[in-house]
Amino acid sequence: MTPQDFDFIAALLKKYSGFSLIPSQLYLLESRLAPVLRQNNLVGLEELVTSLKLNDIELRKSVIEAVSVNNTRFFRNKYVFKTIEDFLKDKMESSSGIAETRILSAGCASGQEAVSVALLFHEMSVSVPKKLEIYGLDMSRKIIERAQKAFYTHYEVQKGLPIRLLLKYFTPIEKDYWQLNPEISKDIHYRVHNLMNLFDQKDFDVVLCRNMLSFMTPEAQQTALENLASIMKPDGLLIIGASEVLYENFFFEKIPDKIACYRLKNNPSTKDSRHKSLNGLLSKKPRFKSAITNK
Amino acid sequence: MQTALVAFDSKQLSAIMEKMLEDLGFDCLIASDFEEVSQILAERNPAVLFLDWTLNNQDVSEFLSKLQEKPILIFVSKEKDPKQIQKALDLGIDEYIMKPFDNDILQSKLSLAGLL
Repeated sequence: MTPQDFDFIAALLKKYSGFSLIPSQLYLLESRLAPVLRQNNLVGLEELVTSLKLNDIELRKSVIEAVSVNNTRFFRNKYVFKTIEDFLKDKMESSSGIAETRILSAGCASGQEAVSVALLFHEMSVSVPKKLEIYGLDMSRKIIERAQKAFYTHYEVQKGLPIRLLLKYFTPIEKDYWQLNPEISKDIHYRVHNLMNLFDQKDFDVVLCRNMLSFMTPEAQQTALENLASIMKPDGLLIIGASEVLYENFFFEKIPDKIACYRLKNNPSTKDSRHKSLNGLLSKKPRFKSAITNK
Repeated sequence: MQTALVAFDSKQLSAIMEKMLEDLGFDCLIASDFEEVSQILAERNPAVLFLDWTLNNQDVSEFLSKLQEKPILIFVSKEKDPKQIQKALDLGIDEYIMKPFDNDILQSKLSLAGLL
């Protein structure tokens, strides 16, 4: 790939998804684009770039999907699930009536993270009646369609998932696939969504957004954080990737002594007053706009 | 260094497991019948024992029921029927690997068993 082509694709990704690609990721880009070339019968990257320049929107979507999809596994980073469990237990035990819990898995890929949280929730013993609602978001339509099917390969179900939970919550279907049982999958809703836009659901207790924000430009990250902040409960918890560091921002502050955990700034002020002050601050900032619709 | 014991009818599988376990930092021993397994358990106190449903034409359940001090037990088998896997769990195993598997799966199962 020529430096010009790399720059073109990097600019395209930045514009439409907020992803910032650095030249050392050339190899990553080439390997992720290889399937796109095959699927579209393109001879090489040169032809891909030419088609993109001719404004082939479907091809552009494929490129964005291919580059931004992340690896995933069940219960990835066990400590994260311990953190969620402790957080939810505290919250639920102190609630009166049915404790409804709302979780967001942003950048959910094929759904292992969302499913893991659902399983954790079902396995949690608390003294109050509980209800769960999980949303999984990803920019890739293809991966969301896969997640919605809620079945996983022989290899996938053996990565991170204890055998006891596999037997309890999955059923083997056709050769080498395991289907997540409806009692769990009914609580998980997957949507194609770009974090550059505001999601239409709100009041989340926990937002998981791991290994995604640090790939964004500072401006895009700021937009994503604002969009996440405005759909969380005032005492909500944001969990990012363990090795990630957020840019200085108006929305979240790190929770001391907890790995990769953030809470809303100005807690516990109401959402409306927080919004007002943040909007005031942000109006002077250049805003990142995405052309990808929410649909 | 932690010790692992593998005991399978297939010498090929034992050899593959040995290589994979050594790459993960285990000292790996191989046994070919239950007598040898018992002996190694007593003498070397391995942290983990890998087995299948049978060994040298003997059923594993009888051996496991007599076992006094159990190391962490992980089955490696081509058996994927949930009822059979449940039976293995009832025998007291800690984890279960369905064949075929790769390095990543082995590593994940050892981690689930608290060994990595």
